[in-house]
Amino acid sequence: MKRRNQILGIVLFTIIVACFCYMKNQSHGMNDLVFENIEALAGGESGHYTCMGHGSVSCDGAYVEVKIDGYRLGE
Amino acid sequence: MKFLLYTLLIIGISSVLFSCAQTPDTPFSRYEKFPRESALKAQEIALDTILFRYPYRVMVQDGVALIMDLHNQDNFFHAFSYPGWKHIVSFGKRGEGPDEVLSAETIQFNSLDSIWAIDANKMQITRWSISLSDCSAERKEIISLDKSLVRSLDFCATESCFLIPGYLGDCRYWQVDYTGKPIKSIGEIPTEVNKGEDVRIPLAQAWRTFIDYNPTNGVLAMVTQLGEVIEIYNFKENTHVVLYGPNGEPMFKAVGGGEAIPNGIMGFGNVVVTDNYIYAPFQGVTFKDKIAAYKRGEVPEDGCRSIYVFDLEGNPVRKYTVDKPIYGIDVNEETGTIIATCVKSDDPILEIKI
Repeated sequence: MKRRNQILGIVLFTIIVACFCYMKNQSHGMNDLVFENIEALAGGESGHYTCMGHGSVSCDGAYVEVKIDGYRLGE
Repeated sequence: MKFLLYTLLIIGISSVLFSCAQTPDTPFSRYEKFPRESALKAQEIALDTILFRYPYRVMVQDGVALIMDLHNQDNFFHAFSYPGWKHIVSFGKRGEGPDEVLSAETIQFNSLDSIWAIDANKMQITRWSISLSDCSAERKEIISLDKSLVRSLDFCATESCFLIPGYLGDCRYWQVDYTGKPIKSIGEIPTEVNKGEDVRIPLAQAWRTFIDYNPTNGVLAMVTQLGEVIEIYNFKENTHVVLYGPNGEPMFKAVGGGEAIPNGIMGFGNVVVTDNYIYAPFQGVTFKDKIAAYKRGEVPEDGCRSIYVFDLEGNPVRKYTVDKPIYGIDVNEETGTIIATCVKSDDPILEIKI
């Protein structure tokens, strides 16, 4: 009986570890891009940006080379 | 009983090994590399006039090459004889007047009397006609787009309607009838990470998409200007494929007012669907590098050094590397010729043999 409980315990432990590994992989599935975008969103909503150069990126009804954070270029 | 317990134990250990070795789930297909790669040399076309500031799109049809200049001084569109490259006519005068063009995002050249252009700022699609006999161009039709479309940055004219990528992120693209009214919204942005309703509008901005439709095979291809995502809708077979490249989906920073600031890479510059393949110039330069160039007082290179070729199912077929940065392309598979534009060059029209 005691031996049977030990084996059951091992099985349960194994299943829990399996679940943990699976969940870990799921969170990796969101990949770095999620965290970069979350970080970006958390960076503040200044609403300030600059349209620079002649290019093909849409910016305020015009097309520019880069659309940048208002203060970034001067940093 | 012992047998049962040992069986459970084996299943449990197997689960551990399987789960820990498993790669993360990704709903969309990936491509990593192309089975064939080759380098191409571009030949500059000598033009008898210098008219361009930023030639962005080129299409060749019925012995005429039509070029759209995004940052022109006078006219958006310029027609040349092809292959002679003699100037025929410039039209689409820049301006705010009722007969003028505020902006031009792209063109579709079906025939000499079926040249379509979209003006996102005026919210119009116009049809133009070129006369070779008296070297003139005339606007034949103006279609005002419904205000609910807000801002349309690309389009394709099909037999029955226009296809226009969604600007607000509430769908992937719209079917719009020939009076400018939206008929039906199709699909959704195939993002894997930005699902929130709060980022829907900046997400759609970041997912600005270039499209091309081939009525012969019923294939609509969509490529992202940022990041590296290609979508293929096959209307005849009723299929939809989403392919992520190594650079992944468009990255952006959302700022106030529903605005998105790109912070990943510049991706595709154009897309052309032929009867057999999909051609898409690809840039792959990070905005970080572009901004760093500005900080050094330099002007960063603008254009795509690669042309990716996929089959109509989305399988990578070939990667061409071009010796000049290009944007718009016209592909003629019969003659093995690509006509391309090089936006910041004194000789901005290129011929590339494939």
